Amino acid sequence: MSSSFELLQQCLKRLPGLGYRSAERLALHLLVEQPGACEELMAVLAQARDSVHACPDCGNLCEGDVCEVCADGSRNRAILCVVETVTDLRAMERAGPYRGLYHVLQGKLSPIHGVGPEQLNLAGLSGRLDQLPVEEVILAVSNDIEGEATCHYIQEEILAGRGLRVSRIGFGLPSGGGIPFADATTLRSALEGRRNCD
Amino acid sequence: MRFNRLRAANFRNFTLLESAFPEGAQFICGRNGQGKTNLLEALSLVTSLRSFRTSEIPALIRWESQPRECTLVYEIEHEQLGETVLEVRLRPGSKQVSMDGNPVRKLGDILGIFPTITFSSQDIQILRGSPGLRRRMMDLMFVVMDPRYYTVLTRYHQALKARNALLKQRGSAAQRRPFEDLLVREGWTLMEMRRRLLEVFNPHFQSAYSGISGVEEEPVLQYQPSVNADAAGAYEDVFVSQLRRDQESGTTNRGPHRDDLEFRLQEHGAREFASEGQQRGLVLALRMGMVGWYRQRGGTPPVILADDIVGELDAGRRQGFWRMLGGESQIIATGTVFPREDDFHNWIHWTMEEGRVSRDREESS
Repeated sequence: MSSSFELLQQCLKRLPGLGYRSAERLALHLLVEQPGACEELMAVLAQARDSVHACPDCGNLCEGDVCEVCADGSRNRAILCVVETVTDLRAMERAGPYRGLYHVLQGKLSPIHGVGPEQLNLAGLSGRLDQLPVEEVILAVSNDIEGEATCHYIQEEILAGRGLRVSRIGFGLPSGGGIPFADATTLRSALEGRRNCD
Repeated sequence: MRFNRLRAANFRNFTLLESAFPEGAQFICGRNGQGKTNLLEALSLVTSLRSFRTSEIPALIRWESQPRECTLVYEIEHEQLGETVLEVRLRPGSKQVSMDGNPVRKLGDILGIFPTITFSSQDIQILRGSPGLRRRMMDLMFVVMDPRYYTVLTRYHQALKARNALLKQRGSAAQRRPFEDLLVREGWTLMEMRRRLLEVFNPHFQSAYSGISGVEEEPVLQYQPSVNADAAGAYEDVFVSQLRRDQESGTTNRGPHRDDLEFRLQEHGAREFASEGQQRGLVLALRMGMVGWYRQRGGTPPVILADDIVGELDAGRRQGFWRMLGGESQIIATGTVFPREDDFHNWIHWTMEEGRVSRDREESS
């Protein structure tokens, strides 16, 4: 077996979610089974690399000066939703009802993995709060210790003294899921986050 | 609950072990080193997915097995769940569990659903050994006694790890604060839970001890928290006062992760003052107290696993011990001689040799 093949396989294996076998399968597919697909992939990759970048405002994927969400004049500039990753943002967009702006942190505080405030897109957040007419900030960060600490940090270091409405998204039962299927921790969150019936 | 059958692949010294447990109390006899303790260890894992002998998963996987992985399949008769098949797959660094073929996403959800109580001759180390062993014992007991305990414990340890990493990285106060707030909140909750659960457990421990020893010697399990505080504010004060020391050592010096527990007998520390026999009695009472707690709680009675435990007792106490275990729980015991002194249970006799169990043909009643 040629060493270029092994190099390709090792390179593919480094991609998230791929193991040794899948990397081998992809490499074989690209080189032997569908050489045409390989050409296409190379072209598309090069094009995407040259045109796609992080939105200088919010951190979303973007191909122009700013991303589609930031460029959309119909969106409510008084609400800002803070998410960890672009994946989270896209999930929120697919869900539909949110019509405000986003801010992508590109991660959460995680001292164990060496992620501190400098590694996160926090300076950008302060800057935007100074410029935009924001009235409400929604923290849509994951429900674990690191997510909680990240929210806490943002509240203390960035939002304090601005007089904004700050909320965290609710944690509870998934839609269509009955109580018996929920795990104990989720049920406790659901109980703690209960709302009055108006 | 009761075990109907166990299959273990690549666990400890078993290439493949298959063992069925008919009605009655099971006694597994065998020379040392045949795998009796390993069998009980495999059974006890269902309760909290932790071994009573080690916190290292790799130690549980048979050395020669490739890939490094062991599988345990339990067929269990459960009062609430009916006949249940639980499969546990252990790899270095991972535990996977499925119940009746459905993967269990959060391991916290099955803790304590399949209760077992293990009496082990190594239990004496809980009394004599390092505080870490006593904390581990507390945690294993308390996750069963209060379902919220596990959540608080894991959250505390996550916050602790993050804060310790920040101390080592010399992170700023602003960076530490969110983790410290969580650490203080969860730490205080954990302390309160430990205090309260010990109060619940102590009466069971005391009546178990007097049942075993036959005398009133007022044993107490006394909580010795690392932080002496009777209110959340005071707890935080102690925590804050340690900051400089914590920064110098790069680790959090005070908190529930440094708690201890003292066995006391007639108002003296049992580690220094109790006799050999009294010490053995105290650790037996620890387990027997759990049997008592389950009995009071009602619901699923735990399976009792007794690993070579009665060898240290005299004949009268042995008989008393078996009798105290009662008849409602399934009992699976090991030893080097059959319990002929026990006339309370109907024992089924097995012999274990080189990792294999076989039923003895002639059984004494």
